[in-house]
Amino acid sequence: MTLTRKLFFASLALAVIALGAGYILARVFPLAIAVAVLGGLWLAALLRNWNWYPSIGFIFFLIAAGVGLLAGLNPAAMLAGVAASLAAWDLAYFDRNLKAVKNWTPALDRIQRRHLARLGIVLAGGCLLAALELLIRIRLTLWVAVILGLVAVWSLVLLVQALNKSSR
Amino acid sequence: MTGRFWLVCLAILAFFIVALFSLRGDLIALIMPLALYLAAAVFQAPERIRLSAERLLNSAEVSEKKAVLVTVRVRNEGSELQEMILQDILPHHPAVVDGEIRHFTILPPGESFEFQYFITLPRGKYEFQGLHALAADPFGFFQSESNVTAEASLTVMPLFYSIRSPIIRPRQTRGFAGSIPARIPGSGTDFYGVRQYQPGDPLRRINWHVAAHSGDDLYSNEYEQERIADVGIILDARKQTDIRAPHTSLFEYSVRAAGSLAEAYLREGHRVGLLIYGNGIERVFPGYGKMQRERISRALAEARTGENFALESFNFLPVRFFPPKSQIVLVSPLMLEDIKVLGRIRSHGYEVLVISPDPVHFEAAFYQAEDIARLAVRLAVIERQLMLRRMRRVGIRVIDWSVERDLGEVIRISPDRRPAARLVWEALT
Repeated sequence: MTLTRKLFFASLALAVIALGAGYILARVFPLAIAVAVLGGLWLAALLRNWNWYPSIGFIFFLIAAGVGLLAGLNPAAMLAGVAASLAAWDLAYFDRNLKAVKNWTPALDRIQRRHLARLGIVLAGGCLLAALELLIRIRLTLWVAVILGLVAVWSLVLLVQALNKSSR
Repeated sequence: MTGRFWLVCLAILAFFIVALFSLRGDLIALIMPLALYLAAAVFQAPERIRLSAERLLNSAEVSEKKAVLVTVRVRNEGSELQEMILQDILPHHPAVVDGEIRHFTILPPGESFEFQYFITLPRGKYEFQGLHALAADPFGFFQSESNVTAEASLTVMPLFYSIRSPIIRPRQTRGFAGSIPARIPGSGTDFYGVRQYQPGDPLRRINWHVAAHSGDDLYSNEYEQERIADVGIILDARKQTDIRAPHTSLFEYSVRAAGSLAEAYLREGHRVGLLIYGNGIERVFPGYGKMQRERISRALAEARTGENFALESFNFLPVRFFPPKSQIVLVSPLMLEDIKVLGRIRSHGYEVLVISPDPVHFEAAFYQAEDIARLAVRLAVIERQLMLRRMRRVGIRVIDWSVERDLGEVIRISPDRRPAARLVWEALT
């Protein structure tokens, strides 16, 4: 079994445990079971090569984390759930690329190490920023929210325009 | 931009909108890992792929069932390609490949990546075009793809059977010593006749029996000269005479038979030409030796059946391509209307020998043994036997070849190869 796959299992387990634990602590058992079922389906998808499923599973995990946070569940558990499901989604994609190659070569080993290092850095950075945000506790007033919204939409438009230009 | 990019964008946007409407700042925290993930992908998006590639084959010509080693070398002429999938585009599907044709690799600028694999292809001429490169950022948000040219051509020659050539007796031979009785007296091995002794004749040639009967005169034995001949091989590539099976076709057997016959006749020193009639008219001008064998092999490697309304019958067979009164060897499953044309060719002075792969048994092998099928096969066999009999009556020699049998063996036991005494014995019994 490749390191990627091992880490995928670990990430998926972490996502299920984090989100499930959040819901269990709040005694919302049906949703905890739903998260576990989604995790189980993701595992089945890996074994049965359902390449469409990881994105669906990822969306459901994000929804579960968002709903949990809105419902006032433990934010650290929800954040861990998002980060771990993001890792599982990424690793499922990367594993599919690796699986397409039959023979393992030193080049693949190098690619795998680089990919995992990058993912680790990105997730660590993301979690750190998120933790800071949770500690600082930004209070959103209506005006701040409107300004932030405009900035977000504008930056997204700029990003898409820039990417379109570069791909031409 | 891939679907993954839009999915993460939408997730971020959704969290953001919910955070704005619910005025919950902690939802922004969930965006952070996603946003950083997206930003990392944006910064590492691949630029346009600029690759050059070359392809080397360990041999440009191989025989069927022999593997060719393909080496592909790809060089990155642009910026770094972090996660790239390189896939060689094969000239034929399905092909038997031993090794990897798909690779997942990193290619820094100016560096090369090389891979090798063995490929086994059926008979034919193939052009390798290039390979497909797909580069992406590490998280699969942005992709850049390109087809890289890496051309090479490969000819896969047909396999030949090891056979002895069927005996031929063309009406005209060439001037050089060979293996075919030339119907003229000279130095040979077969008895030809007796003539009056001429001074200089070797004593052992004197026919003492005839001399004793004649009185004073002496008589010498004459032997038949043996010479080489012109052999024109015609391969029937008409689509309507071909029978296709899941992994082979009757035409493949015809091709091998034509090649084997050409090889056998060339080995005996004859001048051999080839005509492939069907899709169009392909020809190899008559010639001798190993070079001619190569030319014929190449032509047969590229032979294909095809539909051509003008060439549906042998009416337009350009037999003048072969020297007059030469031997024509036709390799064809035959159709009923061919008898007339072949008879006409014979009347023009050509000797015609037909090697006919049996389409009935070839096709029957793919049917289930139901009663109705068995009856149909019997009828088809009778029809074919009648056709072959009619052809023999016209003076055309036919060797009926059931392709599951060895062609060499079929030729060996064909009536022309059997001793006359045995034929008489077989006729009597």
